[in-house]
Amino acid sequence: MMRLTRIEAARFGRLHDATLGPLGDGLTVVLGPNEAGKTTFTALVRYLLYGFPTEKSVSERPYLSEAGTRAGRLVFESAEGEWIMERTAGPKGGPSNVRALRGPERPGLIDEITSGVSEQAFKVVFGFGLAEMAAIEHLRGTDDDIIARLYAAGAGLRVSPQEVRSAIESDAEELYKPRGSKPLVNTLLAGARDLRSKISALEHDGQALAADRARLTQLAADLERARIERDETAALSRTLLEEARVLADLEQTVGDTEEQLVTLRREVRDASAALGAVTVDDSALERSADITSLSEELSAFRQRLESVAELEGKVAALAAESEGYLAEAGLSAESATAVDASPETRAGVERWRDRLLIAEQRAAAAADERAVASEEFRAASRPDDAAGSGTRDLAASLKIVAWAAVASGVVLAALGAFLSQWLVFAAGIVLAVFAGALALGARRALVPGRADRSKQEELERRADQATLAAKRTTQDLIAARSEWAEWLAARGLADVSEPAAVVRVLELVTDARRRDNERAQAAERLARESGAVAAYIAQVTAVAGALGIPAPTGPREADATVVRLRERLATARTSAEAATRAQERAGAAASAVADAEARQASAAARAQEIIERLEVAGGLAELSAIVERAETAAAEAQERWGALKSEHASLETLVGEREREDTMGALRLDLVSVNERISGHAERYAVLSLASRLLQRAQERYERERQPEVVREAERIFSMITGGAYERLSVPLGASAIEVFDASARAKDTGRLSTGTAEQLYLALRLALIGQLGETGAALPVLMDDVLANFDPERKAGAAAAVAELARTRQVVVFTCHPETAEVLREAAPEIATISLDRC
Amino acid sequence: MSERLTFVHAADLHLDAPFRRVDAAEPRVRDACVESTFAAFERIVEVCIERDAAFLVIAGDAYNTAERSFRAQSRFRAGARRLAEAGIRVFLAGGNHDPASAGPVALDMPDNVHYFASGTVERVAFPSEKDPVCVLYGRSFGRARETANLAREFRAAPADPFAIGVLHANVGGNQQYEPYAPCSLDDLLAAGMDYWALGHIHQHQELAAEPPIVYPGSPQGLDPNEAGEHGCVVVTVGSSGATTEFVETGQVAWDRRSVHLADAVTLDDVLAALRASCENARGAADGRPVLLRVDLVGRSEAHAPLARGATFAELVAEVRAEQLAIAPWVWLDRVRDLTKPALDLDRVRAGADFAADLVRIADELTADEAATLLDDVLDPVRSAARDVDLDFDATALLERARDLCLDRLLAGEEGR
Repeated sequence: MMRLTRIEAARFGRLHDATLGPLGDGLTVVLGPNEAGKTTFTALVRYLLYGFPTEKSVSERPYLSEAGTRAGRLVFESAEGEWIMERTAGPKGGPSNVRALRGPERPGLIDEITSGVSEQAFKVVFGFGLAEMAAIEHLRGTDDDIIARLYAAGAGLRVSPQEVRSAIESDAEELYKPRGSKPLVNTLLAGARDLRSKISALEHDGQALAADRARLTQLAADLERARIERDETAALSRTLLEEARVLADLEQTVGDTEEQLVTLRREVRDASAALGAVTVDDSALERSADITSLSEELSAFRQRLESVAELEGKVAALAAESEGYLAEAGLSAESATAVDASPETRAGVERWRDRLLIAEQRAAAAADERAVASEEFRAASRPDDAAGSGTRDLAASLKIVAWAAVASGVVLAALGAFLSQWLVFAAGIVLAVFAGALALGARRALVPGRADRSKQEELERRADQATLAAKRTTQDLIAARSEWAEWLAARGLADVSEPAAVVRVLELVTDARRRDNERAQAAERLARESGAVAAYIAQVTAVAGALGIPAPTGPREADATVVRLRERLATARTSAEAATRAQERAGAAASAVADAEARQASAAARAQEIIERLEVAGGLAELSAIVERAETAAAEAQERWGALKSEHASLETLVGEREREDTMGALRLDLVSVNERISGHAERYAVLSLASRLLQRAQERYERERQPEVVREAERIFSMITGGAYERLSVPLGASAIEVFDASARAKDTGRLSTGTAEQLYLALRLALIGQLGETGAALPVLMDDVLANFDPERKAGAAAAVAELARTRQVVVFTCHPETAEVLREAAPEIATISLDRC
Repeated sequence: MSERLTFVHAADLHLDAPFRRVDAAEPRVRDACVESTFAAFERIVEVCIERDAAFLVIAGDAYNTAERSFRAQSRFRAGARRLAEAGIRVFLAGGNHDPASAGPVALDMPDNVHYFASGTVERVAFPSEKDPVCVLYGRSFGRARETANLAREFRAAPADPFAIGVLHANVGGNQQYEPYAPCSLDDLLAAGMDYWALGHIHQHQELAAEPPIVYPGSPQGLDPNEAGEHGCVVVTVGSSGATTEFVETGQVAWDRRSVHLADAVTLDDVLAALRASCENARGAADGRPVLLRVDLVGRSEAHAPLARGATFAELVAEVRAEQLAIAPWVWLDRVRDLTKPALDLDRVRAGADFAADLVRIADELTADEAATLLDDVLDPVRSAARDVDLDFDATALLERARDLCLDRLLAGEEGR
């Protein structure tokens, strides 16, 4: 078991190289007079274990040493060895050192010894004097609540319920205090009040906004009235200004016009003089149309002269050609006139040529056939030429007649067809058919009964027919040629018979006639051109004569005359234009004079009308004064309107901004947020507060039903010290006072106890607590500094017995300056060690 | 009727109404919340235009008259003007938040906006009395606390081509909402309407299909209890009757989740679980930002480290900042540590020591006693914070208090 054997004060207060020891394992009494250093040694032990206070500490006595830096040593001993613990004052309590005097090194010895015992607990419980006696009660509710520790130890908890409760209440107070300002909820409540105040202000602003809107409406009406007034005054001002301007213009016009009239009248005079100076060739101008016409036609006249010469040549050439053609045709000019050279004639020639050719060809063919047939008949009739010749002669004669009739019919029909005489044609056909039938009958009568006769008859008949045919065709040809001759004669062509020659004559006549026609046309044109030339010359002659110019003697002279006429007309026109311009100028000037006079009169009249209408007899000067007043009024109205407009616009902008601003919404939500936070923290506060209440109730129950062993032990010790005067203790957790109950069960709190009895109670509590600590602080000595001084002898003996009882399990050192106290302790604990101290 | 007609039915816009029960400390989150009711209304306007709706029906509580927000009226007017430009009319019935007694709105509304009368059921033929395609019957609240059964005053005419009833009402006595204009489903059916456009209940509900009796819900959830879809209803009327389609318009989603930490041992485990919960909420919100409430629950080894000093608050702050930086953001509006220590409570209770006494004391407290104890604790706070909701479940808080004590007592020095 570790024990403190020696306390050495190197430099500490009054102590200088002072040693206290050796100390006993159980109870040691250190007896010494006042100022012997008992209290100093008690403090030195604590400082060496927990550190020196600073030199300027006010909470702890520093025990400064005149010998130098404070320092001291503690020597501990156990069965394993002996160690010396040194400490010198310095920062953070000063450096410490543990050395082994014997046995193994134990550098952590200090921590081992002090484990579980705070410096405050040591001061109150282990190393205490009368000054610290009451602290065991006064420290309640703090981290060094000794009694709470008693409970914790007794309740099997590592922390005391009171400590937990204190911590919880501390947490709760961080959240809310009924009259606090810093806790969270209090801060938030203040914030909420601030927000409500702002919202209220904004709501007030909202009412102001409503008022502003009403004001805005009123302003709009005022603005409209001001606008009307402004417009009316401005319009009046403008009207008057315009009237003044018009009046000024009119007066200006009257003056200006007067000046213009002088100029214009001078102009009239000048123009008239210029007009008189001009001589105009009126005769030329009167003939200007003719001269102009002649001038325009001069070019045509010249061309026409050339055309006349050309046409004269052409007419002569064509006449010569015509005569050449007629000479070739063998026609005189008179006979040629009778020739019908029309296209019909030409076509008729063609037809005649074909007809004559056919007639000739037929006549030739018939002659040939008759020769052949006659030869064949003569050949066949030679043997029996006489048989039946009578009958045959008759028949043959009939037949010949019949065939002649047929031929006549055919010729008649052909003639009818040629002449387009259809009755003749029909009669011919009928005749031919009848005669044909008769001929056939005669032929039957001529048919011999024998074959050769038939053949002979046949050949005879053929010869006859051929003869008839030849005769007929010959006649036809003669008739045709006769008709052809008549036909030609009828067309003036008696001197030619061959169709080809007729055709050539017709061509020559036609050419001659064409040339005659062309010549006639040329001659006609020549006549026209010549007439025109003559007419032109006649016109020139007439115009020239009218203007006193000699008449032209021929076309060339006429040309020169026209040039002269044209030049004269140009000169006349120039003069006339000059005269016209002068006249126009004079007229314009006169007109301008008239206009100016009218304008002047009109302006004067209008000016008078304005003066009368506006009743400004003073004229423009008076009107200008009125205008000035109107403009001032308009400017004032404009200014009023502008001011209203500006106010309206500003207010409208302000109202608009305030209508759009979302400050109110944000503030409301901020308030909701703050309230929500208050709610959250209040909930937490409620939990903490309820926890505190639960702990309080549990403590009360525990205190009531499960008084801890340590309290019961204190109760026993207190009863022992007081000789049974007080039998029970109540150490309510969290309460401010400890209560004691006397033999009559009357409760007293410590405030009502005598000093001695209270100190006895505190001693009893300490002894009980140390007795219950077990291994906690087992190596720490219990240092009591004259704590029995105020006890009466009986209670001092009881207390000595209690101390002696503790000294059986713990090292106890009792400092006293009272020998009787040492004696009482010695009686209570015969094995006590005693150390005497001299006054320092 | 044979002619096809489309209209949009909305209600409970609560323009510029402040959110409730949210800690939107972050300016970005706060601004999104403040803007959300307006943005939801603007989405309704877009739906009207996109669907070529003939008109928009708002069945009450367009805005909170109590707030007298010019901004709300201004934004509503802007939306109404957009609808006017598109040739879309707006029919409004006042509800308990915008009754006639609150007075007319301060701002002039465009001509396409029509407020139904409050004294009687007003009949409006659309598009004209001469050639109606449908007929709207509507009645506004005369006062906020309207307790009369207004539905009984509605009666469709037989000649109506298609009759629409517009009313702010509590049908069937929904206990979660104020019992204003109470009526029954039978009252509504008896009116002979072809469609009932209702308002007041903030969750979308279709009370009947033939004829459709519909609560479109609020376009934007306003507090943690209004999670889920929020929007308007597009109604298409054809020869075969009316068909409805719900269109989501909410701008900020509410979500509430419990994270079980039974398997969590370290703070990293807690962080991972919290992040996963945020991701799940983000995924469920379909691209919208989320206001998320998380309760960490379960008997967990992580309880002790969470309960140590400021650990929990720091952990939440870390995840909150992290989730806010992701788009769309998730705002951890509230995270509660409701975990329990990993100890056998029955075994503690069976002991004979201080902890056992404490558990038994907590057990022995009745609900009323717990409530009294809670009142005793909280009354000072309540008196200082009258407009803060401080109604807590006393029993639950007592359990948490008990667990806290056990934590500190049994954890030893570590728990201090």
